[in-house]
Amino acid sequence: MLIVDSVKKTYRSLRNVVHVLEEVSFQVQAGEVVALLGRNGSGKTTTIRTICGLVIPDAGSVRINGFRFGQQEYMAQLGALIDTNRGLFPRLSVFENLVYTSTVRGMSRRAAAERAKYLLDLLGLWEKRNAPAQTLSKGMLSKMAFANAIVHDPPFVLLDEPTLGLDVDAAEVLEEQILAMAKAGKGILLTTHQMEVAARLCTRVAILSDGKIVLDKPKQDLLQMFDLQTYRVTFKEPVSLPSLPFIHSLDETGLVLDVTLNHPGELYELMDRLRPRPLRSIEKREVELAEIFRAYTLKKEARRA
Amino acid sequence: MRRLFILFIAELQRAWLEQVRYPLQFVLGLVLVGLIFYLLLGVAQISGVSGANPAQVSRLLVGYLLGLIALGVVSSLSNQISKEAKSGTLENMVLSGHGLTAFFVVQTLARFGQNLFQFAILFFVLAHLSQINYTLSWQLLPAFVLFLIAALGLGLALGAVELLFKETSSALLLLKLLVFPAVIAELPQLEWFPLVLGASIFRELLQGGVVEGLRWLLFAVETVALYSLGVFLFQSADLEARKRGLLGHE
Repeated sequence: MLIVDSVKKTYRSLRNVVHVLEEVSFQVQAGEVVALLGRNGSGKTTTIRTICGLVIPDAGSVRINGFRFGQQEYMAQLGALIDTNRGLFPRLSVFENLVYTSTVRGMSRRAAAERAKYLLDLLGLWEKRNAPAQTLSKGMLSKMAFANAIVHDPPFVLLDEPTLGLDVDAAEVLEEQILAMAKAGKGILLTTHQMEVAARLCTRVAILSDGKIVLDKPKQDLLQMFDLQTYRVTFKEPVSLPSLPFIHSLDETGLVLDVTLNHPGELYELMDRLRPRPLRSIEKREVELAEIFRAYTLKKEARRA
Repeated sequence: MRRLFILFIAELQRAWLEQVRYPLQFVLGLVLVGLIFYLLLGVAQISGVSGANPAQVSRLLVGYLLGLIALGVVSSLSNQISKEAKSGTLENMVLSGHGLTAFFVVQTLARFGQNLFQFAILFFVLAHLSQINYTLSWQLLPAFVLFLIAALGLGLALGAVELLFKETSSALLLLKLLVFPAVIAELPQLEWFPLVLGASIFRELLQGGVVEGLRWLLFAVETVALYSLGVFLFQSADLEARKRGLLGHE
């Protein structure tokens, strides 16, 4: 299990102090895909870099399968994709890059070569095996960076925006791989701004906002919870709305209103507020992860305001 | 130890592969280094070293090659840190679990090991062309190892600056301007300067001279001090860079 426990990180310079992480705690179990979601600057990458040991936290700890950072076994548990466009030796070929990484991380040369061949086949890069990494396209580089992160077959994998900049086919291949790894018992922590990717892959969602985890729940529980509270109201004619205490959005035509309530009881309050307007229907709606994300991060911003 | 050996072999292979992809650079490098030697020899002759005196030419050649080795080792470490940060492979080195100090020391030694072949070719070619005969004794080995370790210490110190402040080309140039001439020149009053005593001992041994025990002791103490200081500075810089979140950034 990967345990991030009360991690704090503040960057201080002469001019300012930035609290990047404030008591961040969450866990990733074996076989679980956790999506760490958050707006730009919310602390996702710092969290990933802290787990990798690239950043030393001011307080708190990270443990993987019982090992702490600094113990040799810690790194053996971990594979990480930190930047999809970097991380390869530009002059080495695709194949040589993978063999280098896996041998340096403890695999025998023969096993490293076999694993490299397997991954290149899987990701559709075998034809490019002899091409220097610096000649690869952006999409191929991303796939290679992914292969490089998992080439030594670690039990836990961190993926910082793995499908960023990939075409549909390449993203699909990567997503299939991520799901296959989870099925094989690997624990995966991924960050992404693509909610549909997170929705397809993750089993648990953790939302990071201003350096704090504001939500950490299994995806199914979350969708069920919101499913009860998400409604679509259709009006007979275009309306304008007063300020409502619920998370909502009215479409451009003024005819369709999507509302997320904090609890089912608020439905009556919503009806009261909308009463003078000509309603056509109110129906429960299937919620999307993007809406939950928006609801939580907006709530936080509203509270701050 | 086994892990470090595997890392050494992997780095050696990597350095080799990177070099064979660009063979022209390798060949031109050899030619350039040879030309610079003859340029130096010319300057030395103008300032009084007789080309007909093989002892003086041989001392110049040894100083020149040791200067090149020292510069290679010292600049390799900080250059590699900068390169790895640019390509994003520095993160992979951290993830390899070796520790940055061990990683870069092994990497520098591997790159030096690969260049050793180049230096050996150059040494024998230049020695042959200059009609120099050297005395090879077993004492050359410890002298060379000590010299290499001391250069690594300097390299680690410069690497520490690179980790924290980035862009060390000016510092490297300054070091080149100080160390290189000091190692080449044979000035006893400069022997307190890093690596100069080692170069002087090496020269004496190659010419069949006997080195006093006290000079050996001073050389060993200087090497231990330089290496320890380098490791201390590098590890402190590594820790500080991780605290400031600088590691892996260009």
